[in-house]
Amino acid sequence: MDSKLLSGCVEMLLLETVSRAPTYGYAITQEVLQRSEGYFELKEGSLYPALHRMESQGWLESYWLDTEDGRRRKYYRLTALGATVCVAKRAEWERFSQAVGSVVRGNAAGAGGGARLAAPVFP
Amino acid sequence: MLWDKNEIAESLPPVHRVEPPSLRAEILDELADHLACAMQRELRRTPDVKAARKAVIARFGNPASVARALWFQAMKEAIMKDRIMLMAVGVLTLAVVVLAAFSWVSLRENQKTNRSLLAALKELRASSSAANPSAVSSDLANATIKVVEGQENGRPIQGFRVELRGNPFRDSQDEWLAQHTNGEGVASFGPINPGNYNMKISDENKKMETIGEGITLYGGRGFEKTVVLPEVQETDVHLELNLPDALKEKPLVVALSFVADNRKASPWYAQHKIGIASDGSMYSFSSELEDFGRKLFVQKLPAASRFHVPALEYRLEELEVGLPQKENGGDSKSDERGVKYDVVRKTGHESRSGPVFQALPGVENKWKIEIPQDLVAQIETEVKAREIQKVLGTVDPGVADRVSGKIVKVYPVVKDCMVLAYIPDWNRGDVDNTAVANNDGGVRTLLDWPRIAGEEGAGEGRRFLLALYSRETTIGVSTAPGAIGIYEILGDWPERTAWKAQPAVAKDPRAKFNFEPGDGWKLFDVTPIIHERGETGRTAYGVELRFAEENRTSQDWSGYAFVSREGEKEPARRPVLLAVDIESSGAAAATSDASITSRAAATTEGAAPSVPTRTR
Repeated sequence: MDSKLLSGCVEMLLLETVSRAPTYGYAITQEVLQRSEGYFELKEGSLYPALHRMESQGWLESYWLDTEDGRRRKYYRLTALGATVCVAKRAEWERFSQAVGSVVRGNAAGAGGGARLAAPVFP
Repeated sequence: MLWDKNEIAESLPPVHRVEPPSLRAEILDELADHLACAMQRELRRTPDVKAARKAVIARFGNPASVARALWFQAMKEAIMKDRIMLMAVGVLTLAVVVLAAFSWVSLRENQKTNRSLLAALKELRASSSAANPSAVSSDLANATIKVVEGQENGRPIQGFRVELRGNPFRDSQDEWLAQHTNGEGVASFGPINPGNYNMKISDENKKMETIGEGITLYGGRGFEKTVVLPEVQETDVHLELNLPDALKEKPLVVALSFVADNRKASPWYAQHKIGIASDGSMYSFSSELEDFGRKLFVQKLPAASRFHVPALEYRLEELEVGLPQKENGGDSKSDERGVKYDVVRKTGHESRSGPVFQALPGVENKWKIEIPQDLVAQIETEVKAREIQKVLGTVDPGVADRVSGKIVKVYPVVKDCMVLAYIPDWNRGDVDNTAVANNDGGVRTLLDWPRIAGEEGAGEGRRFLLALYSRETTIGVSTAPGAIGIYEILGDWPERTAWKAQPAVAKDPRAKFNFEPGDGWKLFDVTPIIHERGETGRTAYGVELRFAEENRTSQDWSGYAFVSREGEKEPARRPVLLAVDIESSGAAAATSDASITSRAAATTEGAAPSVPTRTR
């Protein structure tokens, strides 16, 4: 897939994944890969800089736990600000994909389930 | 371990002065954990360790590069701040050095100049004294002012203040001199600098003064002038405030400024300020201009106080009307200066066309004060707005414009959330908005308010209106939106309720309302629900607002986005329940959006609206 398309929604994918439960870097790549049925393959070179950036912006917070193998593992969880940003990005994505879908399909009735115009969910 | 942490660590830049102590270790531990997990995954595919490691690197990339990128990202801001700080210190040091050098050079130059000036001055003084011993006295002037009453050879007036204020010829600074006339009515000045002066004479007891007169004093000469002033008696004035009936009961104060400055009638100038209240009591006052409007400080005068003025002709220069200060429910705030009022408006008469009043000696003068009609209207509006605001408190006063009747109490909504059919898990009842929409299964809003005590809910003319502020109203273009129904909630619910965990609601709506386009306050009459709660005493859990039909498409939906009770940016527009008393004429009903129908009456959309009646 075109990497430029992915780079625009990496943050949203990471926030959505972390919003389900606290998790760590490797697990995030696997979950995104599975849920997208192999379509999104996050590279570590972009994953960790994005995670660290979102942590410094206050969207995520991290903590360390020890694994069974004796390694230290860094977990990330969503902050209240991150939850707000997550909902906003989701709403933005819905509008974006619906608009693109309308232009691409040219069908005002939105056959085939054009993206729903989200009710006004303002964080 | 398959990857040497030290090898990765060596690829990082040297430890920086401002680097957090745990940064390196955390980066290495995080990457090492990821590599180990990836290795485990590859080893499940192949037992060949070399092949597994190669596959991991192919996907991960060079661990050292990733570690460096993370280090630089973390350190970027810290390094930039450090560099800026160093530069700023360097520049500051340089500036201090330059300033010190400059100051030292200036000091040396000044010392040289001062020495040469002193020498020149000594020389000049020596030669001047030798040439002209009396030069000092011919530079100055004398002035003698005599004040008499009535005519040139009239009675001299003692105790009047004579003031000279002006510019000496050889000095840029003003002179300001004052003397009181003695037993012979004379005030003497001198020796003083010659120049142009403005002379004023004032009677400090009666608070009047003459309009200024210009005189010129020359060096070496005396100046004499006799000023003839008419005798002025003091007289009593009674003020009568003419207010319309609607304002007679209101606690307002009118501050008046009278000025006597008609030179054709008298050389005397006087100004008097007095205040009178709607109950006839009198005040002295001072006005102060503050950042947020003009305030009056007034002090009430004792009941027996008289308003004495010199018997002159006055014009009303300024009129201010003050209402009690808008704080703590509208009570006036008092301090050591008196009681504080907000000025509604001030009218000036800068064109000198204000009404004229005569203060005649030996009689009690009655001055009638009329408030201009436009100012009366403005005061009435302000008074009414304050009464409404007292009830509304912090709620947006715009809601009152939507209500027919008198708002008597405001209850805040204590719980609200919205649920969305197409995001069934979403349970953010703490966001700053709620909504009602008719697309994709629907968006609904749940609300609850405090229990209303029986006597507060009773009364034939008492209505209860749920007021929600729509900050964004959307209306579909092709189909009519349909009605919004209010459904009674039958079980308890937490504020963070999701669609899939909605509480049960009554099968039929208690009332229906037509959808109204446009942003702003939307009102929903919930009177029957409150009356029923009061009558039956049963526990109640609030109401749900939803469209009757919730199957519109995403291209043609309608809905309101309301400010919720968590709306921090719009606290005045948070949802409230209004208790409204309708006019006893019985003709008006609580204003609510479009049609109102209740369970007691026929409920078909588009039917003529009917006023809900209490069922007993």
